[in-house]
Amino acid sequence: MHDSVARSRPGLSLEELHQLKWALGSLVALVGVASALFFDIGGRVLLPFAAMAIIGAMLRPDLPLRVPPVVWRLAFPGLVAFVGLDIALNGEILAALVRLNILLVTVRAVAPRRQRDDLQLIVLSLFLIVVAGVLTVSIGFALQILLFTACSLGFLVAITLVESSEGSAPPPVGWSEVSWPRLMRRLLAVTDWRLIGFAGALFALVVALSSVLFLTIPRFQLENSLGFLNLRNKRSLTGFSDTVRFGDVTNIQQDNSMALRVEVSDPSVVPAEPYWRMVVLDAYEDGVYRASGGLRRGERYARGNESIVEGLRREARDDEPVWTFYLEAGVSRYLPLTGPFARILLRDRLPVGFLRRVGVVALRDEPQTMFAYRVEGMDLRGEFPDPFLPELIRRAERREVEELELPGEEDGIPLVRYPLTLLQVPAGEENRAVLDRIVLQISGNEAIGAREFARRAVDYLDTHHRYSLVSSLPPGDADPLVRWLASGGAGHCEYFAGAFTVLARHAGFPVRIVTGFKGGTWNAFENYFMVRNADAHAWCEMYDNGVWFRVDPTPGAELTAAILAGSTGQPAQVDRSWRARMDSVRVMWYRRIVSFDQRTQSEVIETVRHLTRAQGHQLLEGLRSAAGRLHQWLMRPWDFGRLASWGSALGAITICLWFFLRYRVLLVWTSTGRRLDPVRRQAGKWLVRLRSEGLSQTDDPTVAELLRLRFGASGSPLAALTVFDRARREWQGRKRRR
Amino acid sequence: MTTVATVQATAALRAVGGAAESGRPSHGAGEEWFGPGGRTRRQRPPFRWSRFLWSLIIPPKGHRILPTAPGVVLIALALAIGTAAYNTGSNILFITLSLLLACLILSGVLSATNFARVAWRLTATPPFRVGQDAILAVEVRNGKRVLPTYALWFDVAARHTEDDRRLVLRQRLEPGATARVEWTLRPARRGRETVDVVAVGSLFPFGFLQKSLGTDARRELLVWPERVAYHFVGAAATRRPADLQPVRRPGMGTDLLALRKYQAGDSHRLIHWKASARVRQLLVRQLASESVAAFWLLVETPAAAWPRAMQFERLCSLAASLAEDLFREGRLSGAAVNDSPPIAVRRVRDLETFLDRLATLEPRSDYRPIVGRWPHPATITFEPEGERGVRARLGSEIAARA
Repeated sequence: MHDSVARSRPGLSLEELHQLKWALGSLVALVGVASALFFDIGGRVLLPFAAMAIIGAMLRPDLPLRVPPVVWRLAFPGLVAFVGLDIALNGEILAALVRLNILLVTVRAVAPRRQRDDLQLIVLSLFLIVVAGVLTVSIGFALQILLFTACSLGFLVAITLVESSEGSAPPPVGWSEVSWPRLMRRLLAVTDWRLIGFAGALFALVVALSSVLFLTIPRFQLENSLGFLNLRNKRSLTGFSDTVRFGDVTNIQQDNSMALRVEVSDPSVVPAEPYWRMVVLDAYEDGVYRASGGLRRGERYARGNESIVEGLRREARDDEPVWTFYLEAGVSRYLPLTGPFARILLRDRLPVGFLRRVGVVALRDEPQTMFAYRVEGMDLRGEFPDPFLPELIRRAERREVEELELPGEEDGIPLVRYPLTLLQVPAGEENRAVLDRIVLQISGNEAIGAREFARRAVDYLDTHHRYSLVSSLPPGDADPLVRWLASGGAGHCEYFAGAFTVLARHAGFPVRIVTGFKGGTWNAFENYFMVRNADAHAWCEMYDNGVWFRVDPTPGAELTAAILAGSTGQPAQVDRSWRARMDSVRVMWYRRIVSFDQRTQSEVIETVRHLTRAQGHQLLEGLRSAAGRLHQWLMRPWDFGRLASWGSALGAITICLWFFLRYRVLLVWTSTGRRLDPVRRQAGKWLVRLRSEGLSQTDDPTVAELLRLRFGASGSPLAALTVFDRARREWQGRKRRR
Repeated sequence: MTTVATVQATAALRAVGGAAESGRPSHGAGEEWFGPGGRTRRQRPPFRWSRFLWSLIIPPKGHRILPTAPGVVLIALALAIGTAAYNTGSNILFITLSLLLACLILSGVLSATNFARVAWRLTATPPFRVGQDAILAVEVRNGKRVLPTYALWFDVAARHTEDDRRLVLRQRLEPGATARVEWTLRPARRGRETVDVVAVGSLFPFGFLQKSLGTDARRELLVWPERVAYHFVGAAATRRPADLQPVRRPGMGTDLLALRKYQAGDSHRLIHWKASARVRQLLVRQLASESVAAFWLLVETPAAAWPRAMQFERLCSLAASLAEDLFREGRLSGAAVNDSPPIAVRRVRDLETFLDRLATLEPRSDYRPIVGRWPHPATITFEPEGERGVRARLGSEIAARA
């Protein structure tokens, strides 16, 4: 049995097909293990090792063939044992499984492969990519999955071609002796660029098709019962927590990555430097701020997953904007807000708690991916009503309130209960003396209100201290803040906020520290507000007449919420850099793809329906209008002059058309020269037509003439027209007879 | 003397399609192209969307799409990812699911493109004789203008010989090119043999789905009897008795037999210049061979005389072998089978007709042997010998045994 091809271009030999298949398999594996870039799973060691092994084996496929087969057979049990040990030592199942997957992909890519192993390689790589995508929701996933799709489709085609050429026979001897330059030259030689274009178009079709499928697949979410997606990714780090030491906020400021993105339905309401409050801390002791147990008393998470949080305000006004927040993973479990709100809608149903006492919303667990929520009726003034605080303080001082601290929570720290923590100052004579002196200097021994004290205290700090990210404390036994106040040295926002807090408390005003972000820039490409980790900040909230109001003692900041309330409009800072452009792509990915849900799908369908209907109406209206104009034109009186002019115009067009149809061969001939050779092409067409009517004998005079025009020497195009006419008559006659 | 000879002259096509009874080569159905590219645009039914959409749900007759092992893995993977996607609402999983489904659709599109405008036909190279290898081939052509066709296979089956096999087209088929996949068939039985291209399939492009198209490409072949060794007995078959008929055949004698057109390879000395000048075409002299005495063969198959199938097969084999040998020696005047019209054997075609009749010959219960009515004196007849043997008789003498 043999086969023969009558006419063929050069093609790849079976050895070269094997080499191509091997290279494509290695590429698939490389794309797969690149997922380790998204994880913090010891990728610094594992990824280079895997990549080097795969690339080495790809370049020298003869090397794995020299390894005794027993080594490959023992590889899988060895890896399983390794992962078992990994889990036992580290206790991180997800990380261990990902490491196992990477190692399996590496082994499959390096070891000699049969068809089954090729498929395993694809499936394992896909698994890696999907896990990375699900856990990180990174835009890198989109690029990676597209690259993987392209490589794996090419790989599958190569497998199919090898299988069909080879059958069940073993691979040809010597396929592993690869000369890559030669193979590349051969690939270039046998490549038909039309096929490459066709393949590119098909890939674009796949992407388009998958987009359509993504948009149209019916969405209904079952209850979240797959535990695997809830496994924690070690890479997620906590930025803001309920315990802050000196330098914590400053450390966050060193990171210029994106922390928060905010979309506002009415951008004009966003102040120049908005304050995004996240954590409220009431207790202070020896350089450590924390949220006391009493403050967090209301922190209870619903048993079921919630998607709506009702706020302090009763209802949002119609003219108030809607805010959509996209919080990056690893920032905090506390949700940034500017002030009291009416309602929060979470994109995902998650356990969420609302600390009414301080107006803070927190998730039970830190989100592993970018987290989105929408806020309605949010106040920008930064004032929180708290009418019951004086009464609470009074009762606490009389010890009428119950134990507010959580048992055993504050071991080793003198027990001070909320709300007395709001008045807590460093103890000790030395501290008290310094604070007495400064407070006296600020108040001038006058009885002043909270707001006036705040203004004077901020002035004092601004006068005596300089802002700097680098600060140094003089040695001593006193409280760090008191030492800083006494030293007159430079400090960052935590020092200023802390110093203001102890001063105001020492003067008898309840004050709490707030951490979060301040400011941000507008993205020039997608019109949303970008807040980076570098915008991390700490400030204070001071109590006055049943209301907490904002005080930012850091030099250069606005003073109070009252001042801020009058400052609206888009800030001058608009980011037009490439980073902003890239970030806008990422936001688009998250906004359009990751956040796509049943509601969005309905909206898209509704929009398409609306657009289609509107376009249809528009088209119909256009047709009606055109018909009306035509009718009017026809109804106008037809005198001789009008008839003659239109008749001659129509006649001229008809003649031109006839000439074009009759002599278009000549036109093409004269305009394009011999290169296109339209006579030969036309003769070929007539030969095909006559053959379809059963006239193909070369002794037929018409066929012979056509063959001469098609393949013979070039002649006059006018003479060719006669032959074509004859061929047309012949063809029509045969058609009629049939 | 034992003679085992092969017939070199029987080069004419013996494959017949749908009209095997005629005993003549048929180039009709046998040469027809099948498959998506087998019909011209005019022959194809007009495109209708309804038909196309229904064909996606209910495949046309004979079309089969079966998932392969990788296809089953892909489907299982898609199900698992779909379950996870609906379970979690993760759009990453929905994207993956969409891509998998899009790849599945792309696989179908590419597979359809691979088969588009591909046509095939079954060709056969005679002769077909029991126990001898014959070459059959599937010719496949790619009628596409730009795209090649990859990884086709053909499931072929010879029904009576029970030879089913898969022929694989290993090279790609370039646009506009024709390829030929051959295999050898050794018929096991005399008579009609049907060879089918049962299906044409491919795993292209990704190996997920095995798509195969049913096809009506079929050829009916007449398989001649097996060639047997036989013994000429005595001098009866070799002598030249006076009552034997002399025959004139083309040969290298001195007498002019006819004029014919010049063919490449003819000796220039044979050119008849005068006749050539008259008709403005080269003509050569065809000479007659020396006259030799020739025989007639008469094969009679009354069922009462040939009750044993094996012995009957031996009869057919001996008659066929004898006819071929006598024809090669130029000593066969004609042949007859039962009461069918006698065939005067002058050309290869006549001999083939006789062999065709032998191929389909069966014992006849209603047949009565000719007694005294046969006009040709030098006629070899056949009769059973013992339980297995067959002998040829020339008059009262035994001419050959098998």
